[in-house]
Amino acid sequence: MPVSLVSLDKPKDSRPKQKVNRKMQTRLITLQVPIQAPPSELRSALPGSDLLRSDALRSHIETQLATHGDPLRWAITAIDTDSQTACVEAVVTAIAS
Amino acid sequence: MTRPGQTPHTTVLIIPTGIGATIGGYAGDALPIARTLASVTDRLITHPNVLNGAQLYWPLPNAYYVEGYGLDQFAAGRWALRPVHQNPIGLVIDQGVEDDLRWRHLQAADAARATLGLDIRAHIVTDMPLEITLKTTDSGASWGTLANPGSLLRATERLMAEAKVRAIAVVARFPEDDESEQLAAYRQGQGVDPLAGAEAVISHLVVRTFKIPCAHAPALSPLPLDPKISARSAAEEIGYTFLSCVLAGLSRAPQFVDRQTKDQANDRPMQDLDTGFSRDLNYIEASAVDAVVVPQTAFGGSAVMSLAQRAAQVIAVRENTTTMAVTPADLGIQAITVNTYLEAVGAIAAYKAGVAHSALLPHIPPIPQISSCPPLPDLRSPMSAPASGFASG
Repeated sequence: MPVSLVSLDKPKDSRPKQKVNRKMQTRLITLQVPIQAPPSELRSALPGSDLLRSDALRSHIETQLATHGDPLRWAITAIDTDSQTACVEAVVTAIAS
Repeated sequence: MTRPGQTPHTTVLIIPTGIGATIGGYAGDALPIARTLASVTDRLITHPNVLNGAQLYWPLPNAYYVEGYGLDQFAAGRWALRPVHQNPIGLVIDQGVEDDLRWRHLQAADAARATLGLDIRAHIVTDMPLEITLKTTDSGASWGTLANPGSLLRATERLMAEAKVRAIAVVARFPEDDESEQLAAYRQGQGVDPLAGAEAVISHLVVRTFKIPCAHAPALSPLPLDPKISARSAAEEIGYTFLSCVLAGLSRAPQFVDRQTKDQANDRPMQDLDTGFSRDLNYIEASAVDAVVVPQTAFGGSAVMSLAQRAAQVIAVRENTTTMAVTPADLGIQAITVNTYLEAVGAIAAYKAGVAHSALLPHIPPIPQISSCPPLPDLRSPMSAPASGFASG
């Protein structure tokens, strides 16, 4: 037998195929996210800084992405220092309507 | 050398994929860095983009092969890593892979079984073509989407249920354009890997859904011979598949453990993430990370943004340029900026020796003085509370 790996090409039994996320879609999106902490926010990056601490910013970005779907992969690609915003690129999954 | 009673020194090496990293943006060309770092740290945690060199790989007994989504969750403190002796691996092959190419991958898997002794239990062909689409954004990063993610997840679910595998290798058919300028530049060791972003999306989807190790190898037809190929890209020119390194990496990749589930199972209170001590020596947690090493312009990723607040050393490497433009200073992260990975290795060695990094520089700056605190407010009187939490003087 040339290939001895077990093949699962055929279902083992007559169970109907499980429908795992059949309508799931992957989408590429971009977002602008403020990186400054609100005045009441104490988790600043450095004493005297008005930037969000990086782990708090990560949570904030994840929350923003969640409004577009479930984030799979994202990154801040650049910071606009004039507007103090982060440019975020992301791939999210969403269920098609 | 770690002294008795000390927790193992742990380093995380991050070189994100698909952002044109000068070192590590091509065919496993960051592996020499991983090998060197692994010699000065007790545990090296890194990801497939660093360790995968198509046909080439290098087993490092103290390196942990952690897929990017899992690395993000680990760094955020949501998942822990549980080292294993070996993982049974399942192979998912995209229905869009042609017969000849599928046989090449099955033979690579058989070779890994016979020659390396890996436990590759079963393979499955997806019930629909995955239909990968490649994209490059304004930032210059490569990304990608797949038309039928559900088919990938169904195949993975069957491998886990019917063959009891604990790691997944995915082979997806990628679109080809032999004439593209991006591909030509990549083969010359320049520009951005056009496939990398989509590869990451595929493995992230499996890891997010099933919380098991996963890595991806693209199925591509062999390219015409080009005698001028860059050494950085050459590892992908020497065989029919890129699968061997993926199987080797997955065979001993640590399993993911949801910290919430683990703590419930142990029926013990949650550990303080900031103590620096792992309660259970069978697991590696983010609190155990001593050093994180990242290209200087790639600080906008999830894992480094988490680890930057808890690792003792955050090391930014200047000469590993990328298409990203996010430095530690942009995010208020206090980092040691070095020019080269050789310096990064030295910074870690100094830390392990108990030597402050600044003591090795020609000019030792004076000890900074933190200004005196203002008088504490009288907390019994609400009207006397300051307007902000911290004095900025």
